[in-house]
Amino acid sequence: MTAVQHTDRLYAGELAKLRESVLYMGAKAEEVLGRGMQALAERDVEGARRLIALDEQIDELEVQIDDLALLILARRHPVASDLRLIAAVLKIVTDLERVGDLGVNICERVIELAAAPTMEGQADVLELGALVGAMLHDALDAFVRADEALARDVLDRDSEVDSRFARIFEDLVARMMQGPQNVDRATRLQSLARYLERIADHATNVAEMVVFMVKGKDVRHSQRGTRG
Amino acid sequence: MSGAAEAKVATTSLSAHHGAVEAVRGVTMQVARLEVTAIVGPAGAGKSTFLRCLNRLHETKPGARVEGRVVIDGVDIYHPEVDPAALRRRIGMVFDRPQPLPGLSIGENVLAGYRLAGERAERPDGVVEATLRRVDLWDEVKDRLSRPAAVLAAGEQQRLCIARCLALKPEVLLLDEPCSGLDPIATARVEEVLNELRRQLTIVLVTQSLSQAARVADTTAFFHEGELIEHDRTDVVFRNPRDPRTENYLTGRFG
Repeated sequence: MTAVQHTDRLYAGELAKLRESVLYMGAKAEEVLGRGMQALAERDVEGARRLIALDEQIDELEVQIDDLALLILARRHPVASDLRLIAAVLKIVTDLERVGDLGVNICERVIELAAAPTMEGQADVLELGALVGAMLHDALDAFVRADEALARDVLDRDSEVDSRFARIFEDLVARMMQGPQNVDRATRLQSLARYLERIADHATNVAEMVVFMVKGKDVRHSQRGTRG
Repeated sequence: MSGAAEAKVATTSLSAHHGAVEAVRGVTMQVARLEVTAIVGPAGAGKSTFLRCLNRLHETKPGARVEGRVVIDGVDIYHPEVDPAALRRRIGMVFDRPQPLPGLSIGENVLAGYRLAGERAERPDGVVEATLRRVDLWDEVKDRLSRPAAVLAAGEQQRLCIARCLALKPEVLLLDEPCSGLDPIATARVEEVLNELRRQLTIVLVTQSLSQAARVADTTAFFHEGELIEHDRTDVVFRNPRDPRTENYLTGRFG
């Protein structure tokens, strides 16, 4: 966050390790989402099954990162930007862990959907997945670079995800009404869209913590468009 | 400083020299009434010199010089009509090393400043007890008041020194790294005393311990190379300091 160096190199190393671990955990969460969407597009049941195991790694990372953050709190009594970093990390890992769980849910629906022919509304869900994936990626990028502007850009994109989710939901309701043969698949696609919308919320939470970390300003629960 | 309470002490463009060295450079700062104000900063930042300007102790050193204004309760304490000795009774000072007066008993130490000031208590024992209770020392020493103060542990001696100041009923208490030689328990007891005193008198605490400032102070001022860099509520300074020099010092960075 600042170009100057910590006097205590061991401490600097601990903070660097904390940042790297969050980034690594974030990369795993991104991977679950990205490859889950790919498995949906390619009807890749095996790929989806393999992804479920990734969630365990994400859970394990959450525990490790919490542990390191607590160790730094106990040992170093961090203040100012270091304190805000630790506080942000403790919250961010909870969001990333939830993204991992939602990734598992996505894979379960993908496996179920692969048993039936592809439905037309699927393309919209894939598009939503790409949008949400970019939000998550940028939120993590903003964290690593301590880039407030990028974090705020992520926050601004959440409303687009919400409105797309609403359109997809209505569209799938309409398809269900066209005939009972659509109900199973449409319900599952609706679930997928809902998972994606929630992942976007978690990406938004990460971005909010980045703003806090950089600026010391709490932008949670602010009115959309007037954050900050 | 945002949300500042009413000032007990206000300095304006205060500079202090040791001979040719300007230790304090143009500091304009307000110390809020009945609050604890901590002053932190690296060695040589001018913290102690600044503190010693607030009770006119700095000028007693050969080659020392003070410029600017220090106003306490609306009165410029450097005005020629102000008696420095009388001022120092109102503005007590505690130093980094406990300095009980040698050869005097614990009880006599409490009353030493009081008697030097020409005060005569009708019930001196009452003054000793009441004062020692304020520094939470009474129960520890009540059975050995006539013993020499040197028998006390360092932390007890430091609280005795605080008591010696308090006996004079000062309005402001200046403390210059009062816990620098104390273990964590003795430190905690001194801090507990400061917590008890904080709404009774105005306290200015110079400390090398950032965690002490964070624990004890209502506001924290950061000094660097003789200048006041930042002064704000302690929770603001420790969570989100404005100036990068404060940030770097608090987080232990150099650049």
